[in-house]
Amino acid sequence: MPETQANALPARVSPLLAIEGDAIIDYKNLRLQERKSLTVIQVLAFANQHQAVATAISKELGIECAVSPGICNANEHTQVAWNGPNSWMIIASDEAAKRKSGALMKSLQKAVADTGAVVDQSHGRCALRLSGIHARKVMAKNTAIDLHPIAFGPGQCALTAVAHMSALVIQVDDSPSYDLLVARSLARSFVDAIEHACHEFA
Amino acid sequence: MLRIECPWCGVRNEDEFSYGGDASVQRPADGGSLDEWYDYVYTRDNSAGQHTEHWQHLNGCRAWITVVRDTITHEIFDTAPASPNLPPGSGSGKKTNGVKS
Amino acid sequence: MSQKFRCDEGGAIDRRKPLSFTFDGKTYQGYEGDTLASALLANGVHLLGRSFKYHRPRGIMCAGSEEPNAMVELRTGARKEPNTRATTIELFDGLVANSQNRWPSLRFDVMAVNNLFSPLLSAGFYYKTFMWPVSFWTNVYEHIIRRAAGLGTAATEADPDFYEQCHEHCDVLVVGAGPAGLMAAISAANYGARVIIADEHAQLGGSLINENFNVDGISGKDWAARQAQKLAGMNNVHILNRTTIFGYYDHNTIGAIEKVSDHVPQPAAGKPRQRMWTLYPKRVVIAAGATERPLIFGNNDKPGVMLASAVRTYINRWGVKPGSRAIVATNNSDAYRTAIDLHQAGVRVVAVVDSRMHPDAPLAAKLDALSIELIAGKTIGAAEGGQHLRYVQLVSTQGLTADPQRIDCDLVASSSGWNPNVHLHSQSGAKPIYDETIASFVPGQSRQAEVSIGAAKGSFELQDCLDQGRAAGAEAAKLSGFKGRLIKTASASDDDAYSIEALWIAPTPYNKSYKQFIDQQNDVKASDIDLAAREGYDSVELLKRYTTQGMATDQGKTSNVNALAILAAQRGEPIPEVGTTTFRPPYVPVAMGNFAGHTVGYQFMPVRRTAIHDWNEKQGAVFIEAGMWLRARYYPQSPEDTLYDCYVRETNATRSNVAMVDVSTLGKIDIQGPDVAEFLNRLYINNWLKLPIGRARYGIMLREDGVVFDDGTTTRLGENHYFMTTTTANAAPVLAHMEYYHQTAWPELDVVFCSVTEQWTGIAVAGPNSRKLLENVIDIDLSNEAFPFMAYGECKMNNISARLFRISFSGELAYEVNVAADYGEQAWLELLEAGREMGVSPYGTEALGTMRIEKGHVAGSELDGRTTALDLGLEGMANRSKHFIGKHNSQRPALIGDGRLQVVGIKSVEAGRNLRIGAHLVDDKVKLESVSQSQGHITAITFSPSLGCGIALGLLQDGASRHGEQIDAVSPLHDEKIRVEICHPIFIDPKGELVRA
Repeated sequence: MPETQANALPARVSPLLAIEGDAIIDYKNLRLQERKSLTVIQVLAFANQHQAVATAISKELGIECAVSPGICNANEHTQVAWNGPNSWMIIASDEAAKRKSGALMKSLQKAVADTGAVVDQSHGRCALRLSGIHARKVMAKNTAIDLHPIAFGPGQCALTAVAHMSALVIQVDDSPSYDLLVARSLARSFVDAIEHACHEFA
Repeated sequence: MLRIECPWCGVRNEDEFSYGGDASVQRPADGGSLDEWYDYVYTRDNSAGQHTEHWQHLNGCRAWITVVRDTITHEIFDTAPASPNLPPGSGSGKKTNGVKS
Repeated sequence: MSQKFRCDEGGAIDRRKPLSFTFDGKTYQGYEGDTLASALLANGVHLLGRSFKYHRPRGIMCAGSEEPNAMVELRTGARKEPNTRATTIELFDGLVANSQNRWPSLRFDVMAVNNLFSPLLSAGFYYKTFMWPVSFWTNVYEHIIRRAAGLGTAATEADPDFYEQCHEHCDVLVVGAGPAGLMAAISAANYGARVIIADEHAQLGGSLINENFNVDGISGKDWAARQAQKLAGMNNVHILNRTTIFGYYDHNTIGAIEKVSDHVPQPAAGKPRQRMWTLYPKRVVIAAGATERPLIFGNNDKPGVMLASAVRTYINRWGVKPGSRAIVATNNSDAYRTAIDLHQAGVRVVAVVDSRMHPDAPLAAKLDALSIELIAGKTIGAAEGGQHLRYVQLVSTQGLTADPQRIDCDLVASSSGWNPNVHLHSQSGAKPIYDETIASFVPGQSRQAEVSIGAAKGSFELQDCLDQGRAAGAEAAKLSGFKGRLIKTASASDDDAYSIEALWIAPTPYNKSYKQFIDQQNDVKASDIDLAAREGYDSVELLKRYTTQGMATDQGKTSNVNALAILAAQRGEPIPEVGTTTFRPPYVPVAMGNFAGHTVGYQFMPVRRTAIHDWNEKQGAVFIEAGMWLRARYYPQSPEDTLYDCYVRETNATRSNVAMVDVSTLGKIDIQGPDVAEFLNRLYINNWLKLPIGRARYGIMLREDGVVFDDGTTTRLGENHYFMTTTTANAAPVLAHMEYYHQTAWPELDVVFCSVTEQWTGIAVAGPNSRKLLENVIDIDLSNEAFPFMAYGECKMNNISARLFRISFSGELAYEVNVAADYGEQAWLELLEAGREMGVSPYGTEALGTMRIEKGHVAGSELDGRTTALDLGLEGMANRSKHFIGKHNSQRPALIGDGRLQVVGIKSVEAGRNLRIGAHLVDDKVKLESVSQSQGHITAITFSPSLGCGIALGLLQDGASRHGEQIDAVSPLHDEKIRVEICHPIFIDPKGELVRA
């Protein structure tokens, strides 16, 4: 049933609602904030359609959808992250893109058509951004992957355990900033762990 | 702790993976005899030395992989995708272009 | 200032920063840069504790983490830390330490009487003496022994500090920042490699600070400081000082402990006490140095008997004189330095006693120049004194039986040679080999990407250490893929050649019996090793366990090779034939807190919360852990409400009216693709090929062994689009199971799937009035004709898009509403509002459980990993003409024969008596005490509000054919026996009319 202006959706309630304010951590050189109300869409390619799906996503979004692992390309409001051998995660701010809620889901479904599955995960993930000169040290306390600039830089992403929880890690810039996507139900435990690791930089 | 190379994600700690058993056993066809099915589930060589086994990159890309490991020294000789139908990985990612923040 | 044993100058201490500390209640002064041991020695305090078994007075033997004796209780209260080595504790102002294992005081210790009874306390004494009667071990002996043979006592309060874990990758890890390590790190870094250099001490330099060396024309100490500065300025180098590499694990994974806050009274805000590093280097350069061995002679544990190198370290690093009249006793060239350093520090060196007949001439000349007497061909036979050394008896090493020569002294600096620190090399899986020329073990063939250099390799000359560091750093960088140029060499001035003639144990004066200690921390004597060997415990591993040699917290760093040599002599075999023990991590004791890291207290385990969690919390719901989830168990309406009150009320509300439960925790999997139906057909035992769009179906999955794995519903949302639910507990295993079969067994099936558990909030609305309630908010026709049992539809709930399923777990007319999770709480509130007038209420998992027992729905306690579909009465669902997982193995004779435990309903026939979960079902002839003839057990119990009595589900042998039979339910633990009747597991609405109403 198409949405109309008359029956607008209620406001989305973040899993971190109990945490007041915009930034969870706001130190001089370290900041942790929730990226609220994003659209998160998982796309999975059917057999032998890997390249076709990537091409469809690239064309639809105007962002190169990488077929090689560990790459996240983006424009100013949308990220296309490699999310497994036959899967991508598309993370978008509809507000920044001046898109209607649900529009991206529909356009991707149309673009991908019968070459793959387009699954809405917008409410299933909590997205956080950790940034500042101490961000890498905070990450090193919680993940075993190598985030040294030689090994990992802007535009790269990894699926790994962060604070013992499965996460998608995307490096956004070399300040450095990391986007962290975790399961919604674990959001508060995840933030507890990251916050704890931040305290020494207060 | 083992360090296992996921064909897609690169070398990761063992605790990102979960063990899935002997990969050399062949699952019988539907019409197989009960003996064949029994062997498939229960009969194992327990070899000392090279062992082909399944692991899933559970806290990562979730792919099942085949690992050839020495059960005595833990040396890993090879890792490969378990599925013939998944697109191949190129090891750890190389960046193409950056993200505008 | 009472530091009367402090040299006037020298040492890497800051004399402008005096620090005050107390030991056993008495206040002393030291300086910044001191350890507790050096500060105590500066104050003339040598007696630090009592030994483990014999309560003999013990002092300071070493200057580092190899110390077996000088253990104290550091700090007080919650931060008290027992068994801490005084030699590794960095002094801070206000430090409080106490001696341990003594009562009532250190100087007068009642348990020292053990020393007199020592002939009774030989190796294996406990095993031999306290074996009989058996009950005496736990009741009597253990308490006495534990009190007598103790170490310090642990704090009784929770640790107020936290520990954290950290990961770092690098190209080259350099272990140890002595001359070899410093050169290796700079050399590797110069190639551009990412380098981590770790050292136990605050200051880098190692032996360059301990010894009186010169490098490149400046003092070793200054040279080390310059190199440290150079390293600190390189952005590809990470210096980890105060960090001990404690473990070398598989695949070049390294464990390290950084003592972040141990040198301050308490950690700064946000700082951990210690940090455990997991390091992932491509190459490891082990420059961990060597550990000196003490000479073994009678009463060699007297306070005042120290390692020769430790004496030099106290002089050079801390400017402390460990005595006033010294004897240097050695079997090698190295200890001569000690005599010279002591002499230069103003300590009277009475003699150097060299067990060799022909000491090196250049060294003899050096002593001669300082007028220090050299006694060759003799060694110390025994030390004498009360609580401190007073004199030694020299004996001939050449078999001469002349009277021993008595020399008064208060310090013995002894050296029996050096053991390269092969611990990490051994931990990496390699086997050290015996090197006759240095009478010790050196690294053998590498198994992992490591190389040992310098003293850790058995090269004891400074120039060799510097050169090997330079080469090894460059080589490690090259092997990691770097190209570059070698740094320039460093040249050492001091270059005495190392020579040794092994002397493993000294003759005793007049061949009298003396205690000659090998492992001083565990009080293992040379005679214990002899005894063990005579009794047949003559392999290294057996010896170790029988005598406890090397099994104390110092892991026998100073004693293992001595023990091995004595065992070899006893067996009459060369040392390499006898072997060496395998070193295992950790190299130093590691506080348990490090292994937990931040995952303690509220962070013990991640917690999963549903979107309705906050509302539940506000309602005062009592939660229960279900896996990682927190679920509302019941909703008390007043403080007096019990669990029973609540679930009875909530069940009644559901059965008579309408109620709601949060079912968001069920696993949810989105499945799409052309082959989904075939995929489901193979996963589940029942048919899936003809499920219409918009319909749900209940399914059972087996494991490959034929046992039931999980159950749930799957709904067909569209042509090639399905939605599966799993139990809460099996959400993750079911997804992994599906991925396994799809990727390994059936890659030809074109399906994709992913977990959407997190995306959806699930709310079950159940009860005869559930349709009425939903009709108030839902925009689709819910009539039985339009939306029958097992129907699915997409709808709007006010403005929120929802997925609606007509499925029921309670057995009532029920629906399940799924909405996107950010609207979960909003949807819950709207449903409550829609049902407000009809009196809707929430229910928790306890009522949910009650209703499922009443309906005979099997759940986790029946799906116990042993039951088959046949056992659970579900075999009728199976379609055996198709292929499905577990099909064949579920037909094994033992799984289909007689005597299987089958699910049954159970009712108490004794009014007012409640059934007990876990109770065994036995024949009435069986005695209460004996459940060996158990025919089954009760898996789930509840009070059924609908039936007004206690009911249960259970698994009973051939239970399906025993309905109506009476049997006993017994719980010997509770001394309880209840008469029960076996019945059909479905207690209410057996035809399932309510769900279809």
